[in-house]
Amino acid sequence: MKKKSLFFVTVILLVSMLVLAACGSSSDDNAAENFPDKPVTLIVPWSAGGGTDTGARLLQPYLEDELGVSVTVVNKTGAGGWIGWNDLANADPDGYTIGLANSPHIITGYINPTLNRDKDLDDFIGLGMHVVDPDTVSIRPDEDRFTNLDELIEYAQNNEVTVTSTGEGTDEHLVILNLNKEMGTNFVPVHFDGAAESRSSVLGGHVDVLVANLGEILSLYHDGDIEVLGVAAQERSSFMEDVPTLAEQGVEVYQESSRGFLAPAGTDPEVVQILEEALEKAINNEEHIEKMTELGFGVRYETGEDYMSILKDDEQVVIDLKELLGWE
Amino acid sequence: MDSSMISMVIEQLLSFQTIIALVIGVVGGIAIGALPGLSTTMAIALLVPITFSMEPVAGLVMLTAIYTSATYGGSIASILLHTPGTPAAAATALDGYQLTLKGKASTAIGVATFSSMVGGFISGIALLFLAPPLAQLSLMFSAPEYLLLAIFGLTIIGSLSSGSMLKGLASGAIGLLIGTIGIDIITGFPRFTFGSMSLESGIALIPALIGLFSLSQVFILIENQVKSGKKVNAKQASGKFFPSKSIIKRITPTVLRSSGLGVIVGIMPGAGGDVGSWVGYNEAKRFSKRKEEFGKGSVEGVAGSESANNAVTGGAIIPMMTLGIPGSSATAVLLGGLMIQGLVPGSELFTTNGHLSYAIIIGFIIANILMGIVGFIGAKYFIKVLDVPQNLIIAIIITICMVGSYAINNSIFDIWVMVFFGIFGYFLRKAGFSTAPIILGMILGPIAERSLGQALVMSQDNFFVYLLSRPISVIFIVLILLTILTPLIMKLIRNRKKEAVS
Amino acid sequence: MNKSIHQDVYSGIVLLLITAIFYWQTFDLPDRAALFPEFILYVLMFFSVAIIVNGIRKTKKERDGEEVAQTDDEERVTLSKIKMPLLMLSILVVYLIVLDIVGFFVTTSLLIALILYILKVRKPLTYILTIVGVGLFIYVLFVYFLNVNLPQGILF
Repeated sequence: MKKKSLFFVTVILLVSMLVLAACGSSSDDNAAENFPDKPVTLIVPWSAGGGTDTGARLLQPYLEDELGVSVTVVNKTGAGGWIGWNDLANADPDGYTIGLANSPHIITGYINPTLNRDKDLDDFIGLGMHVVDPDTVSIRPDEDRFTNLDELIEYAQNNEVTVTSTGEGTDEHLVILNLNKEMGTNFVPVHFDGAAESRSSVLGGHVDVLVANLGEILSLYHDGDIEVLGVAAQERSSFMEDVPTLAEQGVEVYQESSRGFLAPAGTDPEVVQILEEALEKAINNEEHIEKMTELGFGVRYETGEDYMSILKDDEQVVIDLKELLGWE
Repeated sequence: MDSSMISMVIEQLLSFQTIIALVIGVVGGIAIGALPGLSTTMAIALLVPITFSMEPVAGLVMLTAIYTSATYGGSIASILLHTPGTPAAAATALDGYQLTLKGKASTAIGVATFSSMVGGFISGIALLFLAPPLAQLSLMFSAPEYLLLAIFGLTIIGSLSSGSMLKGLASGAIGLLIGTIGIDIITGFPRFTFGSMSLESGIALIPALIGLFSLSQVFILIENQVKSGKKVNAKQASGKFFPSKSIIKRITPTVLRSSGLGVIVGIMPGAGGDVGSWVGYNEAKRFSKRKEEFGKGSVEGVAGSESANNAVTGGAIIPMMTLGIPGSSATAVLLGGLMIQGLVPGSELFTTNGHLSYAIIIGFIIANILMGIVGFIGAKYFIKVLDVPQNLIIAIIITICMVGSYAINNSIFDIWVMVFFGIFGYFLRKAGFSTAPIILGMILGPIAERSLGQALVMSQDNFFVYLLSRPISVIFIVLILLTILTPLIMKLIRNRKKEAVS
Repeated sequence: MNKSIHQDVYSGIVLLLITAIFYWQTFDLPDRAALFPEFILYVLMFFSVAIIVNGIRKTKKERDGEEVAQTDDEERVTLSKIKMPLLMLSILVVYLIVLDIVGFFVTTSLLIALILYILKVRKPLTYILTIVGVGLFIYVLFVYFLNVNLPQGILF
C-alpha cells in the first residue's frame, strides 16, 4: 500500500512538472532586431497604490500599445525604494526589465554613507522622464505671524519655525536644509510618515509651515484651505498659475521630485533606443497626459540622456548638502 | 440635499452597472479579506485602474464595498482557523477561535457578521451626516495625540495577558523591539538590520502576523495531529447564524461603543483598522460584566473588535472626501480612484458633485447591509471549512501562508520572515507567552516613537506644558491614568475591606 | 523526586541573550537613534530577569510537589513533542531555498505532496485534488486576477 501511493505521488509530480515546463518554455536567444518579443517587466519600487505606482499603471496600457507586448508592473518595495533599484541594477541588461526611479530618493539612498550601497547612477541608463512634481511652501490662511514669503523668511531668521517633512533626506527635507543654508532661517523639520499626516498637522495648526509636493496639496489649494507661498521650481506650474516661484521672490531654492524610467547599465544601445522611442510616444499620448493631469501629476517628458543629466544635477544638490545632513 | 438631488442620487444607484459593481465588490471583498496576505489596500490598488472605464459612482461604490467587506472577511478565517485574513482581524482571533474550539463557530461568525454590519453602517451614517464636524475633529489630532493613543493602546497588553502578566508584558516589549528594526525615520540611520537591505524597511507586519498566528497554529495542529487531539467539526458547530435575541442584547452596548471608537480612530490619518480593532476589543473588556470570559471565547470580544474595524472604514473616508487627507492606507488608494474620475476632494465634492458623492456614500451604506446579508447566507458555507480533514487544512494553510506573505511585496524575504515568526511564535506559545502583544507592540511601537520625536520638536520648549495645553491630549492622559490606576485602587479597596472584615 | 528545572528559567535566559545581542548592536548607533531601542532593551532585560527569578521559584515549588499554573498553550517542551513541528520547519526551509531556483508551482506541488504524506494521507485522489485545486486557486486568484509575479524558476 505504502509503495503504491509513493509511486502515485511520483507519477503525479513528474507529469505536472512536464506539463508546467511545456507551458513555461521560452526562447532566450533574442537579438536586438526582434526586441521586444516577450513581456517587459516594469519594476516599481513602491507598494501598489502610491503615486509612483498609480503613474506606472496609468502609463502601462499606452506603453503596451507602443511596444506591442504586454508590460507587467511588479512592486518591489522596501529600503526607501532601493530593494527595487538593486534588483533592477542586477537584472539581465536585455531590455526586458526596466524600472521607475524617484529622485532625490534614489540619490540620497546611496549618498547616505550609513546605508553602504554599492550602486549609484552609473549602474543605470536613463530611458526617459515621466513626471515632475515641484515642492511647494504653504501656510494656513489664518496665520497671523506671517502672511507672505518675505515675512515668513524674516520671522524664521529670528524664531524657530516648524516645517513638515517626510523623513531624513527626502525632497521636503532638502528644501528645508536649503532654505536654512541660503537664507539663514531656523526652520526645524518635523518628519512625518507621509503627506497625509503632514497636511493634517498644518491644517490643524500643529506645525507652522507645510512643505509638500504640488500634486499633494492641489485640492487644499483649490479649496483655499492653505495659502501657497511659492513653488520651488524654475517656472510657475500650470496647476497654479497665480503662485510665484520661490526664485521670483528672491529665494534661490529649487527642489523637485521627479520620476523617470531606467534600464540596467550594459543594455544594448539598440534596445535602449527602442524603449526610449516607445516611452516617448506613450508618455506624450494626450489621453495619458489628460488622465495624469486629473490626478495632479505634471507630465514632463525628457529624453533618456536629458533625464540622466537631471539626475546628475540632483546628485550635486544632495552632495552640496552632505554636511548639513550629517553624511560626511 | 434637496429633492432633485435625491432623485439624481437614486437614479445613480439604481443603474445596472452600480448594482453589479456593488455585488462584485461585496463578494470579492469578503473573499479577499478572508485570505491572509491579500490586503485590502492591495485589492483596491489593483482594481483602481479597472474603475477608470466605469461610471464614477459604480467604480467608487465597488471600491468602498471592497474596503468594508474585506475588513469583515478578515474575521472569518480568524474565527475558524486562527488565521487572521487582515491585521485588523487579529484581535478577533483571540476570542473567535476559542469559540470555534468550543463548537460555537456559528455563534462567532454570526456575531462577527452582525457587528461588522452595524459598525460599517454606523460609520456610513457618520459619513453621511457628520462628515464636516468629524473632519474638523480629525485635524485636532497630531503627534502628541498619536503618542498618547499609542501609549493608551499599549495598556491593552495588561488585559491581553490572561495567564502570566509578566510574560504578556515581555511579549509586548519584544513587539516594540521588533518595531524598531529598520531605518529610523528621524535620523535616517538603519537599526538592527544586521547588514541586510531587506530589513531596512523593517519587519513587514503582515508576514509577521501570518507567522505568529497562522503558522504557529499549524505547528500546534501538527503536533496534535500525531496524537490526534481535539477536533471540531461543523456538525457540532451548527446552529443559527443570526445571533439570538439574548446575544444581541448582550453585545449591543459593545457594538455601539466600539463603532463610535472605530469612527474616531478611522478619521485619524495616523491610525487605521489595526489600531481600531484593538481599542474596540479593549473597551469591550473594560466595560464587560463578564471580563473572565475574555480570551476564552467571549462574544463581546468578537463584537468589540469587529464592529470597531468596520467602523474605521467609514471614518477613514471622512477626511479623505472632505479634505483630501486619507485616514488609512486603503483610503489613500481610494483617493486616487476618486480623483481619476475628476472628483476633487473638498467642498466641491458635496456641492457641485453632490449627486455623485451622496450616491457613493449611500452606496457604501448599502454595501455594508449587503455585506451582512451575504455574510449570513454564506456563513453555512464558510463553516464547511471545519469539515475538511485537518491534514488537508494544514497543507492548504501552509501554502496560502507562503503565497500570502510573498504577494504583499513580491518578496521571498517576507516568506522567510513569516516562517521565522511561525517557529518563534510556536515556541513562545509553548513557553506560555501570548503572541497578540507582539503584534500590538509592532503596530504601536513605531507610532509611539515617531510621534514622540515629532512632538518633542513641535513643543519647542516645555514638552509637558505643551501636552497639557492640548484638550485631546488631556483626555488621553486621564484615560491612561484611569486604566493603570483603577486596578491598583480596586485592589487597595478590596484589601482594606478584607482587613476590616478580619 | 522531580529534578527538572522549570522551562521559564530557560525562556528567561534565551530572552536575556536576545536582549544582549540587540544591545550590542546599539553601540554603532548615534545616540538619537539608539534612545528608544535602548529604553525598550532595559525594560526587556528587567522582564527577562524577572522571568528567570519566577522560573526558579516555580522550580522550587515543583520540587516540593506543588502544582504550577499553566496558561493556554503552555506545555513542557520535549523532543518528542516538537519533533513534527521541527520536521515541518526544515521542510519549509528547504522549500524556500529551492523555490527561487525551480519556480513556484512545481515546488509548491512537491511541498503539498510532502506535507500530505507526512500527515499520513494515502489516497492518491486526495493528492491530485489538493495539488490541482490549490494550484488552480492560486493561479486564478493571484496570477490571473491580481497579477502577482510568483517566483518563476527554470520550470514555470
